[in-house]
Amino acid sequence: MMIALTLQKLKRSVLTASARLIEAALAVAAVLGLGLMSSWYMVEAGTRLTTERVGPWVTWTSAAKPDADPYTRAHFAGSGTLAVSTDVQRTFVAKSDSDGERLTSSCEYQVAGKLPQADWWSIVVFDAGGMLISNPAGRHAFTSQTVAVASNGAFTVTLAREARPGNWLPTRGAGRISIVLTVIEPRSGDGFARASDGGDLPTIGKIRCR
Amino acid sequence: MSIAGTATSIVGTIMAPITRRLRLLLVIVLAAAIVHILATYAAPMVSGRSPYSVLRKIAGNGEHAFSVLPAVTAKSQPLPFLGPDFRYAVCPFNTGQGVVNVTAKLGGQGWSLSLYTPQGDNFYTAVGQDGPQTEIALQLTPITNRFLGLTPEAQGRAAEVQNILAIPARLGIVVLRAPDRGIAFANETEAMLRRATCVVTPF
Repeated sequence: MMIALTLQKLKRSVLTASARLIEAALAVAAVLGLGLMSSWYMVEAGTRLTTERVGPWVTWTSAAKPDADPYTRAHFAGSGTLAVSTDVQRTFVAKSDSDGERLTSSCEYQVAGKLPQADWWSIVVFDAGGMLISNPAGRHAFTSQTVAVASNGAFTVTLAREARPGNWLPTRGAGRISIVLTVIEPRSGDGFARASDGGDLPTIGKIRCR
Repeated sequence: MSIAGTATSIVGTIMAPITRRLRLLLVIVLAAAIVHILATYAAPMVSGRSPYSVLRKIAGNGEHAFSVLPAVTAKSQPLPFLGPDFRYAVCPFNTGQGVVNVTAKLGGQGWSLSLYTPQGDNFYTAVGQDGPQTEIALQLTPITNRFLGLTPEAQGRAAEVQNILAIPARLGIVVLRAPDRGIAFANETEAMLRRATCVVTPF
């Protein structure tokens, strides 16, 4: 009888200890998961505190500035890019089209808009890792000095696997792609209408997919 | 036992596990916030090679001399998202060895000369303007109480450099960017990059 009672007590205390241990383990997992995931998201994707979004374009507002916030510092340290201070240059990155769908090399896109009001600008296509897309034409970018402009002062750049007339950037075999629009010494704001007004940044329209 | 006492006892019995869970939730949220902050601050330290170390290695790990990088192509791209629309010249510097004098000519719109700390902070940038080329002459001095020698004025002569920068880091890198205007201008652009100088004057 005494032994049975003792065994019962022992069993109860083991169960209680196991429950506490499992609870503690779940709590630790929740702490690490919540803390690390939230940090990763804010560093990788950015938030309204650190980025400005206009359509598919995202720009980190304190890039490379000595007084940049920790999220911006971590973002550019992790990406390994050599950014220029947003005091003189704005860099906009698009990973999706204007409808919000991910840019891929299996689709054809048209980047169209008004010329930026800036001293100099360029538009470059990279793969998802930030590397240039190898192509026989050796073509990766258009700049304010090389882009063909329409008579109304607008420009159109086509992103496609095969050659297209006009301003064409090859994307063959790259998988997911990113478009980087760089504006140096914008004459007003970021070189376009104010982002809060909806902006005049170029649109990225999908033409067709394979 | 009074009614109040009984009610308190019942409420306490019901609330005890809820209170304990709320306390646990609060602890989890606070601890997660601490992990979030630590992870964000630690991220730059645990990330891969910095642009500074990559460019320094390409420059041969030397200091105080501009190295013109090969044109950026799909086969030769030292950093992610490095634009192929520019040609680059880089000069790692160390103000611990002396005052660093940097001269360069910015050939027009699109040209820029930037100074970076090893952590990637761009603390100075000069950009080219439309029209005449812009001459840049900088003197980089460390922020220190140490005596760095007599100024040119104290020596009875005019200062050669007007733009003296007290910089926030002992080590750093100068990056000179020239827009790539195509094959026709390639030689001219490269020649201008090679004419830039980055010289240290020991204390």
